Amino acid sequence: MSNYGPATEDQIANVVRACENYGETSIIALAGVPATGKSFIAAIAAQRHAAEPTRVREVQFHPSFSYEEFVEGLRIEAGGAVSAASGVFMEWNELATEDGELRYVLLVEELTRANLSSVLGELLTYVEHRDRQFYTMFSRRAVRVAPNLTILATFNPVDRSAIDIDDALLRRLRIIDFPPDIAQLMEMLSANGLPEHVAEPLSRVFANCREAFPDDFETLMPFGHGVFAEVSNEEDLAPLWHQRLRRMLYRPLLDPHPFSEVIAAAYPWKDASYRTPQPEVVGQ
Amino acid sequence: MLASAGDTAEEVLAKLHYDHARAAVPGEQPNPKRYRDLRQLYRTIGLLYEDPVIGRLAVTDLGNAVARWRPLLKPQNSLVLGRHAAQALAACQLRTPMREGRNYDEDVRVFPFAFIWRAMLALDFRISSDELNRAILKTRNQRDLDRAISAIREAREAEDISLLGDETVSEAAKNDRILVWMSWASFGWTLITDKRTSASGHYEIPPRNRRVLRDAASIVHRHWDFANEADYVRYISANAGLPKDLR
Repeated sequence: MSNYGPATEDQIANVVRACENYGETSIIALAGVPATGKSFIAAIAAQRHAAEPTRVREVQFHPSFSYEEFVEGLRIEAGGAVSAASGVFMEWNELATEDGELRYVLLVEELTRANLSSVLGELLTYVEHRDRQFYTMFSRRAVRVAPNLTILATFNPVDRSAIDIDDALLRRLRIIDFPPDIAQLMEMLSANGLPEHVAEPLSRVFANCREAFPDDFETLMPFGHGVFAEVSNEEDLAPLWHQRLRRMLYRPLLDPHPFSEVIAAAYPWKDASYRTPQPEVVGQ
Repeated sequence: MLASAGDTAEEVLAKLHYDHARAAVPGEQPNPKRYRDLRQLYRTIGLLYEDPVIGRLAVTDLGNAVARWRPLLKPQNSLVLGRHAAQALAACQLRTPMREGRNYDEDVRVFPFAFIWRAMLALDFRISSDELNRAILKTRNQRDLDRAISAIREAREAEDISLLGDETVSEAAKNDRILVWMSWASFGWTLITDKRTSASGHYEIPPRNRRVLRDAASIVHRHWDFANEADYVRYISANAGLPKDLR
């Protein structure tokens, strides 16, 4: 088994524990602003919980995703006949049901981007009550949601679509917060080979925002630590500002993000020639 | 074989079970052909290849997934791996850089397993050895396959197999050769039922496997010219679409 560092391993263990404790009755949902490592942790936790990568089926929701693709729909056959076709959930649930000894995971990325009431349909009830059966809409098959099937999901809680989650669904979720995490940032940058004397001041981007906006930091920070995932040397920081961070803070025709001033002040690498001073060596 | 990544041919041969008591000549050592035959068997379906640079066996992601699943595999869960295997097999070509795939003409654009599945899916989910031998094995491209499917349909209606013309393989061991191809096309009889165990005497696609094979058979692959065996086998495995092992 890989070791992703203590802070990341803690997060993974937390999610695996939730899958084990609540996966039979709830949807385990990882909530955080973009680039907080939700998808990364979810993928690892899903594979560890299932004990095998191929027993994890991944699907990404989007506004066009429908009940027909998730649960069951109608399909036109070669000869023009119409038949019922299982959606991703039904396919995976069927396998999990037949293979009751092993664990299966359905990993739903961007959970809130689809019209959830419509996509989930009757599953809203039967994900929780797995001992009760229901009949599929078109093929009229009797189905139970398999107890060995865990639904793991990710979403951004400040997406407009997430704000619309209704109470009925909210009650079926077990939400694990994924705030920007300085410990994970330092682990990631260290693994990338970024010198500590650069990584430490870079982490102040998050520390300063938390200090300035203690109540809103976790939900309104415009990005998480994962935004620095590709940084392996100091030269990477100026293009990252101009090509990505600045675009997230200052959008055309919109007010700047409320954290933009604090972030910009903590980010001297806007100037491509800036280099963090080397620490003085004691005794010299 | 699948647990032999990084081994040389000699090292793999030494690991393979060999019953010395049954050797034709007392003290005889295992024939290297055993290694070559097994390597051919596994590389045809994208599980392993011999690394051309270091001369050692390399196991692909698909090969590793098969090795992980082997102790757990049962009819109820065979589709989990079968779905990935079907996607890989759909990309397999008849003309390849491997010894057995080099002798085909340049205009041969055959994806053997996808062609067999397309024929079976269009022909009531079944096919006989004779139909394969007299029609499907003659195809050189998709247009030929469409004609072969029509011809088989007509021969079935007329109940006259001779309408399909002569056999492609007529040697005494023809059934064994077709059986080997079908064992590959069925991914070790997990996707297709062996004719020896089916009531109709045909190879059959069971209802639960139809969707997986229909999905895989409908992928339109480009026919590539590969530089070497390693490139080809890695390409086949990559088409399985396996998730990266993050555990």
